[in-house]
Amino acid sequence: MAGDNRQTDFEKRIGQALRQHSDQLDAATRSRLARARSTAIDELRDNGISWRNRWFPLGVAAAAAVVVALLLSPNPPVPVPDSSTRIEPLEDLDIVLAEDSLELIEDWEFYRWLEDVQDVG
Amino acid sequence: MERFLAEVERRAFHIARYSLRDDDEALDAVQDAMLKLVRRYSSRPAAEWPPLFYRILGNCVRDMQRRRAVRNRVIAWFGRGDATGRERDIVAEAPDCREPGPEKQQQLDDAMQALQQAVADLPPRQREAFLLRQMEGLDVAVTARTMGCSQGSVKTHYSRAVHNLRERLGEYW
Repeated sequence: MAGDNRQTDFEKRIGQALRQHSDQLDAATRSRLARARSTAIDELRDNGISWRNRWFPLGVAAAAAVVVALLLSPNPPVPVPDSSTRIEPLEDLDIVLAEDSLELIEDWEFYRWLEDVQDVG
Repeated sequence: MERFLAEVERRAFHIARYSLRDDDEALDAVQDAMLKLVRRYSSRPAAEWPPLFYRILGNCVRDMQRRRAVRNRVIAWFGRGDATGRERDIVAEAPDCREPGPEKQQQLDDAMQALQQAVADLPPRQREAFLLRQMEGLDVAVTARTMGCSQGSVKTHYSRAVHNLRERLGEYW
């Protein structure tokens, strides 16, 4: 046999002998192998559990955070008006105050003159 | 996964022991390989486990051989213990699992011990290819994936291993 999957009688004989021999182990060795396997399987189970334990609380916390965020979120934002129609608040205030002030001063002078005239009369 | 590990653990132990020639280290290597397979590859399809497991086992064996070499150098440096690094005799230390039997049984035992010794004495890559093919029954393609080499290399290692074994065991087998 040149190493492919066909085997000569010699290879079959020694292969069978080795496989049969591998089954013949003393009790102590069998026990240690079983313990090694059990340790590996325990770790597999522990890993599965700890994986769930690790992600489950995170999932719950994330869901709770989303709910809280939705409940406490402010009103939807007002669309920003077009810049051409937008008036700066300070400019608006100045204009309004300036016009009202002039009228107020004029009215105040008129009422004061009227009061003087009535007093004289 | 548990069934897979139960199926391969004995053969894996023997494969590791042929390389390490020490029962305790072979058991440690098998346990390390089991743990690493479970930690890293348990979610992979079951069909991928054999090559992955034996590749991990091979790495564990090589790590142990490296650690042992370092340990031997340190021991030699401090002049303690056996500084020659002489390997233990797997045949002399192999557990005798058989009941004492007639002369024929003794001949079979001798033949088996000769086979074990011959396999243990193979060059590492030849031994790996031979054991994966013969003990674990992996085909050439899977053996190549396990050993991290081409199928051609597997065929070369395997045929050289068989040639060496045939030369050495001709009188027994």
